[in-house]
Amino acid sequence: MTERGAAAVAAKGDELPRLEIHGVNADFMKIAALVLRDGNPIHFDTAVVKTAGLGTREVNQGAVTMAYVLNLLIDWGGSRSAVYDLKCRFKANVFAGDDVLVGGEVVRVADSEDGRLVECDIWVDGVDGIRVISGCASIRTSDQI
Amino acid sequence: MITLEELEDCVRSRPMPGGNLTIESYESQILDYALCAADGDRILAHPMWFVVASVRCLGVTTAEFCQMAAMNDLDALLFGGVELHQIRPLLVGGDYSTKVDVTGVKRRRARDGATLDCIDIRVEVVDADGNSYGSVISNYLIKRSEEK
Repeated sequence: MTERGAAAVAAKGDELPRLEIHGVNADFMKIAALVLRDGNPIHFDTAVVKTAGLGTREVNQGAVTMAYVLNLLIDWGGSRSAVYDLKCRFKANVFAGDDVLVGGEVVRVADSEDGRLVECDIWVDGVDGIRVISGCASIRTSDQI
Repeated sequence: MITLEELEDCVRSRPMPGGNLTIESYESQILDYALCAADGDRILAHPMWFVVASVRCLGVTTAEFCQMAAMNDLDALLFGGVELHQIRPLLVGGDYSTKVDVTGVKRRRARDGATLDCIDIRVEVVDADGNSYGSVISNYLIKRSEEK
């Protein structure tokens, strides 16, 4: 069994490397809306955003903000197959142009015949440190394909 | 306002048929770009594709879902959370289908006193042989406009 990624040597209490997204891109929201078939106009029509009382900038899809967490876990775990579980609660909106910071902490490491499973708390903070996502994740440190 | 029992009947009485998904290479690359994902993996699809399957392949449109949940024009549909479980990664170019179940219908009060209906929908992603690749449980929230 081949171990891979920085997660393979993680221990309880370790912090995950942080991932920063500078200026969430409104054009990327439009692309994601097309791929998701998500017709909610708050992701691409600022007139609707204003009418809804949400301000003046497009609202990022919660799932796209969650994907930033997946990017961190993939990088740290060494492969797209490393992500085993991810549970996210959406607590606040991210708007076009916002900076976000993604991080986490190892809370448990379990070794078994199937390999090592690293469990983490994860989070995404937005402008002024407002928590926009909180949750937990599990990473496999060896291939299961 | 619809009662919780009526809501449960409405949502569960019409099974969601699921759907089919092919992860086209061009869509995979474009989504990677939009997610700011690291470049380079042309074989394994980004795990976000489980979420894409859960949205695209319910077998009902968002408008039909809102109708099933007896929403009116002033009610708001929100996305409360996601639980993603990846048994094995989806493959770029792969063909998949989904199985959809409503796994929970609950009612609670929002912080502002409004009625909040919570509907959990589980979407399992399988291949042509029925092998499961993983699942997504989406937590949809309906903030009712009445009875504040």
